[in-house]
Amino acid sequence: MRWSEAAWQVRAGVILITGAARGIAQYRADLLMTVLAGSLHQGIGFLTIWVVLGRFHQVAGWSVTDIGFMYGMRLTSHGLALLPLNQLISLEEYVREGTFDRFLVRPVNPLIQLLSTRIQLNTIGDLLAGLTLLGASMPLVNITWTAGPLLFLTAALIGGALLEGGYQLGLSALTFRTLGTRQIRLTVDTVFSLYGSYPIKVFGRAGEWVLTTVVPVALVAFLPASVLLGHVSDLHVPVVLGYVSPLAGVAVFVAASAFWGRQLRHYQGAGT
Amino acid sequence: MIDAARALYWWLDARGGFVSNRIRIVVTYRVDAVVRLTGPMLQVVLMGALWRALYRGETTVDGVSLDVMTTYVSLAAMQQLVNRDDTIDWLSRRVRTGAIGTDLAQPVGLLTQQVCGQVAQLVVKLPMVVLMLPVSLVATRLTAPAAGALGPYLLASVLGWLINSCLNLLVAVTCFWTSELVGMAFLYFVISGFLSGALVPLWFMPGWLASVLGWLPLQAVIFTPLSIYLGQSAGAAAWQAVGVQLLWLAVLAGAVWLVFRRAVRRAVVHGG
Amino acid sequence: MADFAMALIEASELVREFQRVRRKEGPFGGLRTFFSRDVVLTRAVDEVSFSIEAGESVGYLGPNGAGKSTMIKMLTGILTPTSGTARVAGVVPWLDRQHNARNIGVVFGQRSQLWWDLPLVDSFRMLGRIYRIPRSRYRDSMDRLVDTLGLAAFLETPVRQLSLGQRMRGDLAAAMLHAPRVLYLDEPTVGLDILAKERIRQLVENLNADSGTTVLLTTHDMDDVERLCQRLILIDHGRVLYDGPPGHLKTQYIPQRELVVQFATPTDVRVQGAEVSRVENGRTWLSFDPEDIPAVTLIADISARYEVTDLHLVEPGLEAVIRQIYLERETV
Repeated sequence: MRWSEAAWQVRAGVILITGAARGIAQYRADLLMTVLAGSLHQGIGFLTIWVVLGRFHQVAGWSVTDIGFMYGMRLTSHGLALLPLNQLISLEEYVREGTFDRFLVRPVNPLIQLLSTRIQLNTIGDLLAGLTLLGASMPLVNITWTAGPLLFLTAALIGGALLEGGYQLGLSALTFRTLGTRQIRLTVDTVFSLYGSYPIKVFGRAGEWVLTTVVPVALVAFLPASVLLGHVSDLHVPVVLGYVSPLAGVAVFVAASAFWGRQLRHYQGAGT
Repeated sequence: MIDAARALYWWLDARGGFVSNRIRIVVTYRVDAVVRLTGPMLQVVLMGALWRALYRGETTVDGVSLDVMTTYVSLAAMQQLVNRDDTIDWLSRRVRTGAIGTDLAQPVGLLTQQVCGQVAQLVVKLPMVVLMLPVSLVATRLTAPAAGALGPYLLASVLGWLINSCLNLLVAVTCFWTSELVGMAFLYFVISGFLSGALVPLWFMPGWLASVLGWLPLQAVIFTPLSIYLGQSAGAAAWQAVGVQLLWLAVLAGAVWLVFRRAVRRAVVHGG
Repeated sequence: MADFAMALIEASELVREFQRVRRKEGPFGGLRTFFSRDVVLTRAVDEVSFSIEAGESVGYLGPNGAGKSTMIKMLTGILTPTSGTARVAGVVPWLDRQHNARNIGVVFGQRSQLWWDLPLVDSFRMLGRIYRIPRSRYRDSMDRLVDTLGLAAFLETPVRQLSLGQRMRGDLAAAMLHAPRVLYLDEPTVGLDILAKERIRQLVENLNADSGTTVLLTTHDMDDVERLCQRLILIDHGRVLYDGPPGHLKTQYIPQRELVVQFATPTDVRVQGAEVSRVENGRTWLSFDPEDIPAVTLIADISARYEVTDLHLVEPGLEAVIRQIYLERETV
């Protein structure tokens, strides 16, 4: 795709999003509540482990600030991924109702249209919670924040977002072949949320393997955090993998986009 | 005598109709229901691994053994599964779509209908809990109840479920006064999940937090029955805890009944 | 680069099959169906070919389930055919969707393409930007469309508050805003009142006549067809039954016309070349084939032999013709 073409697609997405934003201006009250609830939900997830670590002081060699840092990384990546991609869950509704048709007869990429037709601002809650946690733990952990670590952190946050986002993008493409994939996607989402914020050593050999290859949540926050914090002595994979984990996100996202485009061919529409 | 029996029969029959109707609705989406088990199962596996890592080879911490801890999280997850019902979603949807009008015209009271719905879900959830047992056994090594604890435990569980149902009903009925319940309901589930001790038992919480929670009905839902099961609360202390539950149940049931009367009156006056 | 000798819309041996898992009856039917690989294959479109020149106004007709919408979806790029090919303005729709989108406008009768929560005019503005229409051209298009469709009264109303007729007019304007070369209409007048239908038909007719927009229309409303279509493509079970002018269709399938005669005194009519099909309210309906005996000759014959007080000719309606065709196919 030429750059001018890509730039146009992004501009079209922005145009559509502003339209969507104008539409929801009327539902402001509930927005605040759902943002709050979302942040609180994430906050309580961390609060649980914080309370526990208050008593136990460390898990698998990670202190409470280490865990807070990793938790913040994962949440921030998750929030970043959710910001553009939160409308993926609407795909099933559009396909079932047949309203997806209109995306295919307009001169804009259908994926961009899907993602910009509606706005779900409460996803900001996750991002805010993540950034707060990250910001709070960064001064407390054992890292000197020079340019190097900061750059790597940024790369890891973006890479993590691309990894989780790409995974969900790929799964959503299955909707073109069969409806009813909702539970699978929710389960994957649960795995990313629950298991991505803890040192994966606690899950044993089998768990480590699954969480690095099948559902690679380890690459989102755990591996980059391990590298940054220096917890590399008993890593289950070569340390170099930790350094290139952000690139895995890029690869997954690119592959998922291509896959999505191909599965689009199986779209059948509704009715005859 | 015959008349009384016949009256009882018809009374039960009418309510039984509502129960079986709701069961039928849930069963229609049975695949959905079964796959929804993956969430709690993943949680149990996570918790088991996490606590094993936290204990790091030590058999007891603060007088609490690892097995007790893992049993706790398993049972808590299963109780959460049973307690999380759709009363709030259901009632707010009925009000939002206006279908509440039909409900109010039924010969069976609105409150009774909701209770029937809750009973229906209990009937459906119990087999699901049974399905979860194998996973719990493998991941967390469920221990048997403490000596003589089974009876009080079962009683406390039932009371806990009743208290939880009352709380759900109280949150649900606010939909008659506020239109946007989604955010608030989510908030309620998140907070109550944490405060009931489902994620962290009260004995590991900092002292001030544990004493505050002692004043709320939430810990009576999950923490009380489990501490009885695990022998943390035994003999006289156990019966005292059950007594507290009964007290809360009386207060909450009364509150529910009163608020529902207000709600129905409001609905009739405002025309639904 | 488009080949100028080529028609604007060319469809060649298009086939579209749908797979459906065969439902299993009996115990555990649902579960067995879920795991079954036993599929039923239906050909919604079965080797359909046609070619439409720029400026034509074509009706694409058939009973429900005949494959009309499937064909429209393939031509608009929504569905990919199982086999066969098509080109619209030189572009293969399902391979080059966005390029194709610039050349076409689509109106789905059942589903609106407008933004539900926003005022109507906002939908137009957004489309103007998405289709990259230059300001001046946008102005001109809007003025013309608002005028012809009478949109001024409700331009600022949110789309969800519009009546069906208003919304359809809005959808038509939205489809034509970027002056596409082809306009696809999928049941455009369904559910509308007479006035709204008339407005829509008027605009489509103008678009075809004045701007030369090629129109492909599916509908069940015969008045739409009579008014707008110079050519009919009739399909059934995915195959083309007829492709040509409506007039020929009538002569091909129901050559008979009817002469309705009122006699001075009730008579037992006997005349060569014509049959009495019924007698009603003092009128006699004579059925005849103009090929065998021209109308003038028949009228002359009758007038010569009997005393006629009133008569008029009746042509079979298009609807009757088409109904006849489908009925015949059903009994086959």
